Amino acid sequence: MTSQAHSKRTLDWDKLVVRTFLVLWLAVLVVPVVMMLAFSFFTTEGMQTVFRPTLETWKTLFSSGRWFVGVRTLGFAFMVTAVALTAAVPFAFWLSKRCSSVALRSAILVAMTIPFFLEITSRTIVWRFLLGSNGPINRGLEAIGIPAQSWLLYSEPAVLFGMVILYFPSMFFPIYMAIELLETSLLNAAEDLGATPWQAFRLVVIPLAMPGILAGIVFTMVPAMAEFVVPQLLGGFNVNMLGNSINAALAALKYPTAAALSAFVLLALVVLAVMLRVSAKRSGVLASAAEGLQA
Amino acid sequence: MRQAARAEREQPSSELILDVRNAVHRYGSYVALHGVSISARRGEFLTLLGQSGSGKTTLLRIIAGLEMPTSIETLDIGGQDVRTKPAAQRDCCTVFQGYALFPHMSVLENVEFGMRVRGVAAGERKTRALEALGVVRLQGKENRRVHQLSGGEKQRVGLARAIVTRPSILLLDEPLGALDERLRIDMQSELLTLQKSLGITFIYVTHSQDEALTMSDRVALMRGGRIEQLGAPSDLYEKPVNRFVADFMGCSNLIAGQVSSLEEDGRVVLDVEGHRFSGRWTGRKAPEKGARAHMAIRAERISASPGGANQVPGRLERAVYKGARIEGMFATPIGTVVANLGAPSIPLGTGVVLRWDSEQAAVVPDDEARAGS
Repeated sequence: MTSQAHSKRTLDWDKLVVRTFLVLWLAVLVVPVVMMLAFSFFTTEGMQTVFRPTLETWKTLFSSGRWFVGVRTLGFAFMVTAVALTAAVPFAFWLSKRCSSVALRSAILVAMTIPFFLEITSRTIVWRFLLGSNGPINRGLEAIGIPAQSWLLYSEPAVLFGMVILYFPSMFFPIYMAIELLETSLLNAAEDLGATPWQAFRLVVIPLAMPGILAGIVFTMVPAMAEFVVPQLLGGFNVNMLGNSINAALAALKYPTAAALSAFVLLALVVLAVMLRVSAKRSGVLASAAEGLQA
Repeated sequence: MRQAARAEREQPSSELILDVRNAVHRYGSYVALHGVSISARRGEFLTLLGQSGSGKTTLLRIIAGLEMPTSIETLDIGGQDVRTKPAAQRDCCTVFQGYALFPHMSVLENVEFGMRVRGVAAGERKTRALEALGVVRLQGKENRRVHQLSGGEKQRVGLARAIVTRPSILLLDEPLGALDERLRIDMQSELLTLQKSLGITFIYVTHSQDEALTMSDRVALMRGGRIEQLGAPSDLYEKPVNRFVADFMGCSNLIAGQVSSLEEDGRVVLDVEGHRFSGRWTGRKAPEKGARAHMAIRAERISASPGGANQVPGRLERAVYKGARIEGMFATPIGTVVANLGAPSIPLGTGVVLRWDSEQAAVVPDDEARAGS
C-alpha cells in the first residue's frame, strides 16, 4: 500500500514537471513563431502596423521580387552545404582513421574549435583585406603577371567562400564524431573481404557516419539560410540575402515584411527537413545507423 | 587419447600454402616480431599459441595484409609472393576477435559483402551466402540484424562471411575468446568439422593451451616475438624444448637441478640437492654436464604405487578437489611436488613415497638467454 502511494506521488510529480516544461516551451518557442506568422498577414502604414488580416504583405513579397532573394538564399545555403560536406567527409575520415600522428590530430582539432570562440564579424572582415583589390592576393597575382581580379571581393564567389569557411567546423565536427565512433576493425574487415578503399568508404564509412552527416547538414544549412554578416561584409551591396532583407525591413520598422520573410525561411527549412527525413527513411540510413550506434 | 583422435583426421597434403620467412616487425623501438619463419601446408590446422604481447596477432595481421611488416624475406600464399599486395588481394580471410560484423547490414548482407565488392551477381551472391549460413547452422536467420544475435551467432556469421569467398587460408584471431565455456567447447569441435569438410588451411591464434592441444595439427608456441617451439601438440606436451614451454603447456612440477651424468639412450641424470632423478632429455641442444636444467613431470604421472626409477618421500599437505581428480600437494626434500591422488583419498599428513618412471619425465634446459635485442 505504502509503495503504491509512493509511486502515485512520484507519478504526479513527473506529470507536473512535464506539464511545466510544455507550458514554458509553448510560451518561449511556439507563441513567437505563431505571432510571427500572424504578423506576416498584417500591413504597415506610415510606420504603424495595421492589425487587419490581409494578404497584402505576401503579395508585395512576390511582386517586389523579394521572393527571389529567398530563392537566392536557398541556393547559396545549398551550395555552402554541398561544398562544406564534400570537403568535411574525406577530411574527417582522414583525421580520424588515417592520420597517424596524434600531435597533428590534436593540433587540427584545436584549430577547428578556435572559430567558435571568435565573433563572426571580426574573423570575416579579415577576408576583406586579403581579397580586396589592393590585398596581398591581388598583389601576388600582379607580381606574377596576372591582372588584379576585382571579382575576388564584393561578389557571389566571395560570399560563398566566406560562408564555407564560416560553417566548415559546424559541418566537420558531427561527421568527425560519427567516424570516430566507427571501429577501425570494421574497415579492416572490409579490406580483408576484398573491398577497395573506395568501396570500404562507400559501403561502410558513409552509412555508419550518416547520423553525423545529417547533423552536419542541419547545422550548416539552417544558419546559412539566415546568414547576413558574411553577405554584408564580403558581398557589399551586390549580394543581398534573406537575412539582410529581414534586417533592413526591421530597421524600417516594417514588421509584417520582416515576419513574412522569416516565415518564408521557416517554410523552406520545414520543407527541407521533411525532404531529408523522407529520403533518409527511404534509403533506411537512419534506422540502420541508429542500430550501428546501439551495437 | 588426444593423439589417437588426431591420427584419425585426414593428413594435410604436402603442398605448401603459406611460407613466411624472417618476418620482423617493430612499433617504434618495441620489437613485436624478431625474424619469425613459419609455413603451413594445404588443409593444415596451425595454431599460434602465446600470451598477449607474444606477437601471435601481429604475425596473423601481417599474413592477412592488415599490417605491413618492417621487413620480411618471404611471404608466399599459394606460391604467390604477396609481400606488396594489399589485404584485399590476398587469398586469405580473417575471422576477427570482436567479430567486426557490419552493424548497419543484415546477416545476409554481411555474408554477401565479400562477393558484393567482387561484383558477383545478386542472385548467385544470395544463393552462396545462404549456403554458407547453412554450413554454420544459421538457416532462417539471414534477415536478422547484427545486434539481434547472440555472441555465438555473431561468431558464426563472421565465419560464414569469411568462408563464403573460398579463401585458401582462414586466419582466426582468438575466435572463441568472447564465448562462455560451454559454447567454446561446442564451437571447438564445430570448427574442426568445418575445417575438415572445407579443406581450408586454418591459422588459429589463441592463448589457451587446451584449445591448441585439442584442435591443431601443429602448434607454434610464441613468446616475446619469437617461436619457442613448433611441432605437433604431442611434441609440445611430451617433449618441451625448455622450461618455458613445459610451464606453458601446463606441467605442474618443474624441479630445478644440475645435469650430473649423460646416459647413452638419451637420458640424463639430474642432481637436485643430492637427490638423483633420471629422465628423457628433450632440449634442442645436447645436454652438458653440470648445466642447470629442470625436470618436468606432470601430476598425473606420479604415483605412490611401486615401480618407476625415480622416487622421493613426501607428506600430503593439501588436497585440492578438481572434479575428475584430486590434486595432492606433497612436501618433499626437493620442494612441493604435485601429484594426483587415487579415488579413496589419503588423510592429510600421510607420508608416502612418490614414484615416477624416467620415461615419463622430461629434462629441459633453462630458457635460452636472449642474445642482444
